[in-house]
Amino acid sequence: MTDSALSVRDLRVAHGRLEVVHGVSFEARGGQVTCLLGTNGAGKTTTIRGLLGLQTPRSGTVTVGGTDVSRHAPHRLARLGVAHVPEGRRVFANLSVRDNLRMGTLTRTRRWREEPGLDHVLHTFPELTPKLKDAAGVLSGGQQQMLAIGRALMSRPTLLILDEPSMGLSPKLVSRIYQALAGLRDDGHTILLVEQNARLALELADHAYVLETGHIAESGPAGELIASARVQEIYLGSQEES
Amino acid sequence: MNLLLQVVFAGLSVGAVYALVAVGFGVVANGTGAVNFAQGEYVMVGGVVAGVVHEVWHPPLPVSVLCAVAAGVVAGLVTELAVSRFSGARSAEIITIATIGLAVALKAAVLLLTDRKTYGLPHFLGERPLRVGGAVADTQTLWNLAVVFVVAVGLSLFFRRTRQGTILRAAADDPEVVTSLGVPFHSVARWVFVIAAVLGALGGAGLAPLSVMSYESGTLLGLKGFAAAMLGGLGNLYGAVIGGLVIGLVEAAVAGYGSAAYGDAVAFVILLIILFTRPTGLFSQRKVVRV
Repeated sequence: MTDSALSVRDLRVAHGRLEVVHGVSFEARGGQVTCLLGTNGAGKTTTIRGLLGLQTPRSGTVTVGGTDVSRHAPHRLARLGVAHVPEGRRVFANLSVRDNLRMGTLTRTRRWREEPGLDHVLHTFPELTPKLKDAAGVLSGGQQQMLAIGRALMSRPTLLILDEPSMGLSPKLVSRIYQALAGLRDDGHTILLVEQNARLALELADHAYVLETGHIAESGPAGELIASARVQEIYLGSQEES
Repeated sequence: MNLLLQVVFAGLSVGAVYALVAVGFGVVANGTGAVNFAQGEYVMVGGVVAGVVHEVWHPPLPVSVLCAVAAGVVAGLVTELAVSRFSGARSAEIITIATIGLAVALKAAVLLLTDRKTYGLPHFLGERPLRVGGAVADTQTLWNLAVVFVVAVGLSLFFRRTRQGTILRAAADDPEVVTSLGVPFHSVARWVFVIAAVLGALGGAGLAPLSVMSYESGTLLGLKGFAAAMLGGLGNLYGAVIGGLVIGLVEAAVAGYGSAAYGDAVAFVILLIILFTRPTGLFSQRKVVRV
């Protein structure tokens, strides 16, 4: 399965009058991990929000599995199997962990108690099992990230979009999250990963795009980009300190 | 006659209606972030519809009350259409403004249809008042309190235990994430407005035996209900119930011991005090959330 799961053509997104994504094109192939790399302010999150319809793009075409979804509201993308793990996790703080996970099943079942896929998610993130009854707001940052990913997985997505899953986590937790993501890749999930952490992301990804000030500056197989001078200089060099 | 008990009974029966209005404000505020200025008009619609049905067809009382509830459902659906579909509104501010327009429209529609007539209902549990400890308790007080109790417990179960209730709680936390999980905004809006309007209409039907209803009864009730909601903390279910009862009681006390002329001012004085001193309400206990 290497057909295009997501294709974005010439996407332009603005905050008010200020355009921050200037005609971005990329695609995510089925069964692969595609990575969108960029530093702070490169327009990564805005690109994702634009393609998901969370922010209305100025122009551009977005297709998911061959369906044109360019002007679709976000809930219709969810129904097509696109799951989003937003920047900053955004779990429902006042809901229990279990209810947060159930919220991921809304597109799959109308029955609340059924919880299809719960076992699978708890197998991926056993850390959540003892927390099922706790309010999501009291979880640690790492647990909240696991919950946000778990919530997305509950919908059994055809395309999983993760926006900076490593943000604000300790190195130990970041590798825990990436270990889980590697498992998802091996299970054949189609993943679009937005990251600042180039080393980790490129190790996981099959293909990568580098986003700079709202443009795609470079793209290629992840293995080649690791060697590219630009990526070395901008991302990997600065990673040496941490 | 025991004046204190008398004041308590009078306060509770009207306070129960304020409580229903206040809960409606909270449900809409949680689901959409907006203040629903049409909330008081739902009470008016419920009271007038029940009164009209009673006067025209003389059905058994439960039928009149059911008609009020049905009118509430319709009013809620109309609100959702007006504020979220037609205006395409997403922001709380636009929805709030749209509800002001809708309130005026509802009032005008009822004015045109009823031509300023007033409507009442007989007491639901019989006209004979109960004598308790030297005071006279209106049977309608019992009914109204029972409705508030059932509504509070029922809503609390709905929000905690059901799929739809949890979706609405999630929308109160983060509405955008709810849409990206597959639930369109208008679905959340439809649920909260229908719940709020049914609560208002139930309150209107329960109030009609105590004071006659006409096209202009809603505005003041809405404002008092808003004061009650703010007193209990906007969005807090039990806070809203207590806020409503407290405002009813203080109002009755001022009318009973002082002058009835000042009764209506009570809610606004309380509203001002709350806004200045504790804008998050008496029972605010914002949970500390680690991020």
